[in-house]
Amino acid sequence: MTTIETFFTTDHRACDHRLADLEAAVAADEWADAEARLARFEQDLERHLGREEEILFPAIEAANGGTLGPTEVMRREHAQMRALLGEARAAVEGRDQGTGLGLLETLMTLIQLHNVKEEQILYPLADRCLAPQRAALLDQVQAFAR
Amino acid sequence: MMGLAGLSLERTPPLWIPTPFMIAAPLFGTLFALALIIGAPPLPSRWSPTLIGATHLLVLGYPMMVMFGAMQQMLPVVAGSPVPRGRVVGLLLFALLALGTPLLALGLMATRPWAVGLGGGLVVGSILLFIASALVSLTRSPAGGPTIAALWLAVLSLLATLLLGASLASGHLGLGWPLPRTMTDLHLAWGLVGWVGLLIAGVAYQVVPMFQMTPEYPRAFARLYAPFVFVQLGLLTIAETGPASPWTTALAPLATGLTALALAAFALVTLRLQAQRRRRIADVTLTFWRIGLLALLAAVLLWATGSLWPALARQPAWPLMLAWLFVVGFAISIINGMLYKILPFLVWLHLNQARARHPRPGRRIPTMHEIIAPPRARLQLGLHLTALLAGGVALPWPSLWAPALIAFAGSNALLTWNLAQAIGRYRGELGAS
Repeated sequence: MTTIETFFTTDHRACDHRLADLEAAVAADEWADAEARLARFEQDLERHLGREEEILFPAIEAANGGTLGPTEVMRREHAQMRALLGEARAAVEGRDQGTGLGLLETLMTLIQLHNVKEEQILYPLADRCLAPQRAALLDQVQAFAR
Repeated sequence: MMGLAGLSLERTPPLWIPTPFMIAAPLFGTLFALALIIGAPPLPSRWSPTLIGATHLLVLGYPMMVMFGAMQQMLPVVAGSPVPRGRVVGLLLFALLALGTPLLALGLMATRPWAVGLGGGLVVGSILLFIASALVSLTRSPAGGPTIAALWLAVLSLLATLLLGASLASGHLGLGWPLPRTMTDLHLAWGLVGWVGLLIAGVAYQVVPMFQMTPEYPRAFARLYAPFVFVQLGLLTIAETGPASPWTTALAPLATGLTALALAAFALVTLRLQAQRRRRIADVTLTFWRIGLLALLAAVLLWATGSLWPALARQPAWPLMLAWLFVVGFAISIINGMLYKILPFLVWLHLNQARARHPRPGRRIPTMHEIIAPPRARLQLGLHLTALLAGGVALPWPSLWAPALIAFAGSNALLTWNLAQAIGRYRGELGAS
């Protein structure tokens, strides 16, 4: 049976791989490739963030009497990712390899540390507190497109 | 059940809590090398006071120092549970360890009981405070799994190391009870294989898949490795301290051999995962990790050779080379690599938070590569590798010992500089915003 933890963790790995592919293209000076990979990564990342911000987090907050705490921290980190990604796009468009690799390294580190918190703490917690509505919620998440 | 409200996913401690640990640590590495260059003949006996003192300068001042600082940062992330009273605890841990370590080391080197007592007392205070705060954080953690289990066992191993070390040190205070040399071996085993080795394993389960995008550690391996090693250390302790019998005589080499096999397995499994990584870029952190794991394999091989060929193990330099490969080769290489991830990211993170409070449109926050430039890190990696290799072959070629120490002193001076200028960059950016 799919759990929130397994679904969203798999989604993380898919985004990670897109980011690694993008970094490899920038490192190899393959700019046309880098632009295509950047677009794919942006699309996957935005879909993942949207699934959380619009479906998962509100459900967790509602199940916990409107407590924002941890989900608010997660939303803030999403905003930091979007800011870095915007700068990375500018670097890729400007063919600026040094800045691009520095931004991607920073973005990767931010995303990885963010993932640990979600995968080891937030998702297991969500699986427990959202158990009754989990199947319906995952259907909604899978149908989500952005 | 753990509720959402009690859960902390943020509470990153202020930058001034972890950074003193990280900047001071390599300085202790430089001091260690200088102490041996000035104070000891080439390749001293493992029982020489200078070497015992210098070793404590290194292991307490460097790996322990970094690990105390890093745990404050790591527990909120992997355990979702910050260290209680983080600011006060952080400050006290650092002050006690940074003052106690040089005093204890000087006391051991110059055979000054008062300095051993005072310095040792400060170090014991720091370690007890660390153990207590880490155990509170781990007990409160809503997370489970192999990392948390390994951290538990590492902290318990540290407690065993401390008890053995304190009773050994009381011998140096002239309290006069007999100090069998097997106690020193047990102190080393719990400290290096238990505390350092298991902590690195617990961290590795997280960071190896995470930063290099490798597959996860095989589930059974991750679950069994730390408890297995811990049990072997326990059996070894029983064999060495219990009443002599044919049974305990056979147990000691068996437990040691199984521990060595487990360490080799950890190195091989991790190297294999890294070979399967999705992230193709080999950054300086990955190179440090690989050097560390190869040094661990070399240490196990050297140990096995000495066990099969006792003439080698009787050489005074043999235990020295084992310790060099394990501490400088395995532990310090990996710590060194991690510092190049942790500190630049922390600087970036705190600059980000500062900029969120005082926005400054049009001014980009420096990336991790701008905070510590990769060529600078690679230069220091070269020095570290030179030191490690020269020291590693000093057993057959003792004349390489002094150059190894000089390279080690230089490598760590440069590391301190690299880390300190990152903090300088942070201050500069704050001033500019």
